[in-house]
Amino acid sequence: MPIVVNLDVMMARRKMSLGELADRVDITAANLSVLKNNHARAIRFSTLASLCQALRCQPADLLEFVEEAQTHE
Amino acid sequence: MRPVPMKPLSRLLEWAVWGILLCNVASLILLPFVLAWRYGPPSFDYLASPSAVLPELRGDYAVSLTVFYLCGLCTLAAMWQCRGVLKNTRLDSPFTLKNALYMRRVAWCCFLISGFVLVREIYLLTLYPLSRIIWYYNTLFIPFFAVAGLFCLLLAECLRKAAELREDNSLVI
Repeated sequence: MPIVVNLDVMMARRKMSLGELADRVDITAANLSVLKNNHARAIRFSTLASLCQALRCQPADLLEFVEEAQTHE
Repeated sequence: MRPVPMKPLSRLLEWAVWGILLCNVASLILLPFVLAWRYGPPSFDYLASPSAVLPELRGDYAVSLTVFYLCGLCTLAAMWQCRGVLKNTRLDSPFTLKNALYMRRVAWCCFLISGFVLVREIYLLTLYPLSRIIWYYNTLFIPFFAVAGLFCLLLAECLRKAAELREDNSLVI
């Protein structure tokens, strides 16, 4: 998947744990883990909005387009 | 459309499949004797021995016995796969790749049964006139199982797609 989710980077910047973020955006830690580990197929705008609000960032801070060859490296 | 209660229905069908499976095993055990009765003179003395088949019908008997055994084994395999599908349905996971695989196997069993009966019918054409074969109820098995196989193949594909959609849906956060 050429879209990389930089959730772990933003969480580290805000010094927020997975459980704490899960509580704030009201989704399960398991689902958040799927998102963090780049296993998600898609993300709802509502989830993205909640994440941006909780992490005080923009969608571009969370999502990044990386060329397919680079992602395999 | 009102939803049908899936769990009790699949449990009921599972029992029915087990019943068919047991009947199938019993039929396979009794098959030589039942066929001997069919191809031999109508007497209970002949029921105990398959060698009671009339000499002029022995070729037909051998082919019929082989084909019925093969069909019986295919039915046994198909019912076993159906049992798997019903078990998964009862456990609330009908849309899985495993179920799709089971349905595909059922489809191939149906095609095999249709093919075996077709072979028997072709063989019977060398013994009896077409007018006798065409009205024989076994002839109906050929289109019936061919269509059932196609239907199962379609159902398998639907289950595969549903399993994929389900996986996609569970990975949308």
